[in-house]
Amino acid sequence: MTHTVLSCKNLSIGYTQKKWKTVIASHLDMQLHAGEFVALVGRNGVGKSTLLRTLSNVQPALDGQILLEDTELKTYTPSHLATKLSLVLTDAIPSKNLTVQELIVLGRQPYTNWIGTLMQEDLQQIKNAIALTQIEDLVYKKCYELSDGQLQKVLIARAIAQDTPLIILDEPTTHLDLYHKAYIFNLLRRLAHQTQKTILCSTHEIDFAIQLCDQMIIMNTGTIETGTPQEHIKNQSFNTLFPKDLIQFDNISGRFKIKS
Amino acid sequence: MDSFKSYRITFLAIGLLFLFCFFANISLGSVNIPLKAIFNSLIDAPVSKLSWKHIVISYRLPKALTAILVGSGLGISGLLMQTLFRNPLAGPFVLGISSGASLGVALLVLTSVATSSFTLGLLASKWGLVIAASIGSLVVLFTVTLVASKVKDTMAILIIGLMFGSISSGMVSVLSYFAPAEQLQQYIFWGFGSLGNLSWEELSIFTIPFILGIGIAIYCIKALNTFLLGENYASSLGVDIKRSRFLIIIATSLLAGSITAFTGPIAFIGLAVPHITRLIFHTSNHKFLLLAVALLGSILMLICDSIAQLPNSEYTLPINAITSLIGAPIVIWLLIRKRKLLF
Repeated sequence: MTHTVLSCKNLSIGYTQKKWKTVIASHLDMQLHAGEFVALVGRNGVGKSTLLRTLSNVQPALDGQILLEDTELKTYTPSHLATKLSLVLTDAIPSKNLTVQELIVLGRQPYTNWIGTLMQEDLQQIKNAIALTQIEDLVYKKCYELSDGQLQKVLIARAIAQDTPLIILDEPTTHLDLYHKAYIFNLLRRLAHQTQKTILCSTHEIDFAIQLCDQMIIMNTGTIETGTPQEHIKNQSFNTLFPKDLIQFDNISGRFKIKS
Repeated sequence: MDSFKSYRITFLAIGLLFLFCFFANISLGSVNIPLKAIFNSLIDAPVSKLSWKHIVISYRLPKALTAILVGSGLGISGLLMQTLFRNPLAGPFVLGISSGASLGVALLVLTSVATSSFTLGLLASKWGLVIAASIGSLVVLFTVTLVASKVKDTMAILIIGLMFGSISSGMVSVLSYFAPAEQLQQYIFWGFGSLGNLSWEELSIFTIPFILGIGIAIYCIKALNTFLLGENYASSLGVDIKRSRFLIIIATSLLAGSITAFTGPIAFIGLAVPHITRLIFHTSNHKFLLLAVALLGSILMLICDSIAQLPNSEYTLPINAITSLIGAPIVIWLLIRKRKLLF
């Protein structure tokens, strides 16, 4: 049995506003293991972002328990959590003047001293992250010179440099063309297997996720279902994802088709 | 790699330029003093004319030191604000610091006729304007930080700062409308800014908030670097956003507030210097930027002051006008050259 990185027991997620609790999903249970590439899929507005925000401690869980590396998530201090969990967000990077090198170096912040001096270990991790994501030729470029695909690779490299057992990505392939979507998915799968980190990403690319992910979390209103892509196909789970009037999941080809 | 080594030559060149500007600034003035006499006065060696030594030690040296404090302080607070608000147009006064100071001074100067002899006495002393400006900027800043601790959105703080600035300016306008001409002139003169009014005693008090502000800025270097990625990434890297934001605002207030209190409002240095620095140093690491901004800010301020001095003439031009006349074209030139103000 592989090592469990993240586990949720009886988790409720949602918002608290002036004593009113808006529950988006409840009784969620799941376990993510080391070296797994996991995709979270679900239609727009179903609560994927809320789930990711809760798992990354940006917003508190309404109820239940989240264990990260056998320690309860909410007991982590911000600086300790930064050594356990790194993020790749959809936010635009405000400083376009940063070089790729500087951006990746920032991933080492949780480990450096008060003024940010890089030690041997830091330099090694940075080199490693650059090599793993194959961005050696981008290192001295500035962020404004990068294409969307290149920037995404750089942001993933930064998360790798942060050297955390869990990396959470929020829709890492939006704005990318088909080739680069496949490229990023493939990269994430390779990273998870090579580095034994757990990589969890939310996505709308169900086709690629079925082909490349070790586990998929299918989110429907108020519930989640976890399993390997094959299990989901067998259980007809993909057909629960969307309204049934327009598209249908085809078990044989493993993809959605327009209803004829 | 990211180390001082790669910038050593640039830092050396700028350091030498800084020393040159410092000595040039001291040797230029309304009275023509030979270089040898200036050097001798500085190292406390015998000087042929006692008045020369007096001019250098009690007038020109404190003025040059003031220029260094003002230039580096405004440059650094401009850098802090641009990084905090992720906006290349932010400067040290975006939070309404100078408007607050103006309001304080306006209240003191423009109402001194109507009120008691106490304010008149305060006005007569050198400290009156300093205290009034300090209180004014402190009140505005206190309000802004109070709001900042409640508001989640950093951009909202920027707008709130601008609004407080507008309120202060509006109040100043109302006051000036009713004020007698003589008082109005005194207020306008304060607005010209001046580096030359500080005695050694005032200068030593000025350095206290200055050192505090610089110290906090240095303490925040790591947080400032993460702010370049945006607040969400910063907090994912373990940075306490609210605390860092508060500290950065305090550092700016200490620097820009004390500068405005002692020398009056000085425009454009805080906005222009960080951009000039980014043009010369191709780094976004605040470890290097802080030092570079401090040096380049001092150099620019020393040059502006030397020009304002109109060497060998009786006249001194208002420093605030000179910094605008030099700073604004620099920003325009940067925009045309790079077509984009990046930060």
